[in-house]
Amino acid sequence: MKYFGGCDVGSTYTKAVILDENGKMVANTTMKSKINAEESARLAMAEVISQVPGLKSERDLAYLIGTGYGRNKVAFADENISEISCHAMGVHVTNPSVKAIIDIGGQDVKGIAIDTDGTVKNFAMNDKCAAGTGRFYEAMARSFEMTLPEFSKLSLTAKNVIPITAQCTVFAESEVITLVGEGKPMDEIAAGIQMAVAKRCFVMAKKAGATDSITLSGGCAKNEGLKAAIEQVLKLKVVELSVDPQLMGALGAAEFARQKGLAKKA
Amino acid sequence: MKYIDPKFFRMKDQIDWKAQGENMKEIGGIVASLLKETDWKAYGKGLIDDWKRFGKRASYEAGLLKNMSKEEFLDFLKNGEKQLGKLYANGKMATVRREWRGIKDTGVDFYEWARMWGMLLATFSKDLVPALMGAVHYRWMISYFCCHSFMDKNTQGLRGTALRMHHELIYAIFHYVAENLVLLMKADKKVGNSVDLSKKVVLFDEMTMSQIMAGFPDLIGIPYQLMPVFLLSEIDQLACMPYIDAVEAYGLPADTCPVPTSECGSVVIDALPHMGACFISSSMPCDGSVMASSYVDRRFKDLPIYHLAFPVRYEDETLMDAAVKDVKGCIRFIEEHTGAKWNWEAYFTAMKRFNEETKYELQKWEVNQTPYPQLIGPCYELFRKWNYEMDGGLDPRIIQTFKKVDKMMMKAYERKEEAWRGKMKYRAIVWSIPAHYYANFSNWFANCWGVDILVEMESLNFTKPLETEDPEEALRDLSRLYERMVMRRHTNGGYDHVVTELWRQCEAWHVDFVLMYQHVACKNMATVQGLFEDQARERGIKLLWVTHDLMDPRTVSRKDMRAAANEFMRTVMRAEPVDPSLVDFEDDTTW
Repeated sequence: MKYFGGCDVGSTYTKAVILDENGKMVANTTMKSKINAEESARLAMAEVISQVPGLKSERDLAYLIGTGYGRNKVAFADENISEISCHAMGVHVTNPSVKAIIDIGGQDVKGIAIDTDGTVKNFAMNDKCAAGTGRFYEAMARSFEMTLPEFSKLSLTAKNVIPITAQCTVFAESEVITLVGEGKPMDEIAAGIQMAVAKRCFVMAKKAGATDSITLSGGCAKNEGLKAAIEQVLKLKVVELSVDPQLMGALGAAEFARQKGLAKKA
Repeated sequence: MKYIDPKFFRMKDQIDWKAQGENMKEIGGIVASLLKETDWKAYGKGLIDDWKRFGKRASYEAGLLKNMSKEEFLDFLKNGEKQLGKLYANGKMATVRREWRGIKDTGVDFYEWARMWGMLLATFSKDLVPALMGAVHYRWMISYFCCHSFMDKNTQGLRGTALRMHHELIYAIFHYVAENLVLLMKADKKVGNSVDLSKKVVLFDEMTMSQIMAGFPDLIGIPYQLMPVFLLSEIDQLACMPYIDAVEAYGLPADTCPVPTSECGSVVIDALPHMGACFISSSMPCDGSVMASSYVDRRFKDLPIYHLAFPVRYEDETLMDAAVKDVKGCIRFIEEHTGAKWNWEAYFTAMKRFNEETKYELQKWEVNQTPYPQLIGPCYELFRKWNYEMDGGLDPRIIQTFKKVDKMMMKAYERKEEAWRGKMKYRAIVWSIPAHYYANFSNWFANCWGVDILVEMESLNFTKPLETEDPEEALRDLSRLYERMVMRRHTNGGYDHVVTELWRQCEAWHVDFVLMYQHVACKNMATVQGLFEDQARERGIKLLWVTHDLMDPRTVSRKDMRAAANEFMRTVMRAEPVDPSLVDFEDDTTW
């Protein structure tokens, strides 16, 4: 059996996936990114390789593709592919009916429209500021003195939404601290934060041409409060993925590796 | 009569030598402190490192040549090098050497390089002293020393007829620039102080149609901000930052468009020459530009200003009566302040020439709409706008350039030559506010990804022949031209001219996609962005959005602009680069 790898070196988390010849995921991992992207990639690959009997190092993989912001640092990869293409492919192999993705990563937000073969039809991205990204949520959770999972559920109990006007992470943090200081209900402030991010995601999705059958990918896709807010803004139910949405980039990279590796063999 | 009238260059200078001496003393002090502060040891080490790098590069390139097969080597001799990324080195700002284009084309390129030097020397020698003094007086003058670098980067990758045509066009532009620089420095009170010449100069801002000066053959019209600000930023990407910083420190909000911001900044740091009989300001396309005119007004109290400012509606015949009245007022104003008399015969002669030039322009479009486009790339884009906006048929030498280029273009078309040899993969047009300040973006796009920019929005503004017999109708045509000067479409064009027109142009030019420049500081185009996206999707037209902030590369860097294009080409077009060595490089490797 031949195996194919995908390694997504993100700004906050590094993810790796190994697929077998039939496209079945046989190993995966998600770990906090180190300051050194190459080291992150090596550690993640070592972890997934240890999960597959018979594999000793990345050299045993038939093909390996690097993706994510640190993709150029995956020195041992056969090829690098943009994370936009990989997310599209990852979602497509997980659920071919999905037509669009809102990918909320650690440092950027992307709207991606997918073609029928899993390739990218169009995309839009915000990579210039941290507003509405994982970094933004980390700052917000810190303001609330909560962990990220706790914060992500907080808004679900809110009866009202207190609008947050600032989009900038720095200004939003100070606005939140002011509201907390004024004694406003924490869950309602949290709902305001989720709504502000959801609107930003909506802009990206709209720019990319997303209309229906939309899913979320990236680490923030696990944020339940955000998912609910996005559904409210988009006025549709977000498609649930059967695989961890944070793995979509690595899974797409592994699928590209599988296709290219098999084609090379043929 | 010869253009530019030789007597302008011969007019007497009245240089204030005492003031120049003081200026030189100050410059001398700066040079002395620079010499004192320089770490000569580090400088020496830098020189040695440079030579080491040169040695390494030379041996690397020699190795590449050695490893070539016979066929590859013959191709290298004939067609030149293909990996243009080798020309860049970190921190160097300019290419490490000239491009090898093959024996014949390198010869052509060298000849043009020498011809440009010859022209510059001949032109500046018409009155060298004020020009030299200007170079130590204005920091922007120094940037013009890199005009050869500008020529190189805008012709990079070109071969054969396309290379020769581009050289013709850029030569014409630089000839104009050199002559105007000499006149600017000669007439400037701070430098040459030629009072006689200054009385003959009418300054106008870049949105005013230069064609109005055709009726005053005894005067010379100079676009005031062109040399110290606009063209400058194309030649030197970093040149406008001191202007922007100065005016922002003065209190201007940082999200204002960098065009008027730079203009105002140039006034704040006194970078505009002080000269001219009068100044014609215009109702420029947006409030930011109106602000710039007010800065000039406040700085130069002794400069009479006429605000040619009828409401601009891009295409509004109901405005014509008011517009003609305003143009007549402007002509009267120039007559009053210069003593010159409007000359219909001279105007009609120049406009007949301009109409002929427009016919040649339309011929280029016709060719570029076929599967064998010939004249594409940054030099052509710049030439079109310069001819339409600055030259305006006034210079009889330019029609010769048109004829020569047309002859070359038609021959190349008949031979079905490739304008970008081996790099004709995708057809695109540019829409929205063009990033001329990164003029060679289209050149990079062709060399790196094989994307050929066939035309851009600003070039398409006005092609109607101007009236050459009836004076009243001629004034109406001048007004129509004014309504359609550059930057008018996206600011005053309205839905039909901005949105619907794009789909018509997509059809006419048979495009694979549209390069949509998104200027972050321009709110006008932002209002229709959603409409563009929705309608493009309905029509199956792909849009590549490239964000930029005109001449302020600190907001959006040139590298970021290239990254957006790279991402689009890889993911949406599923393309492979034709020259992978150009995909990713640092901005500080280029000027």
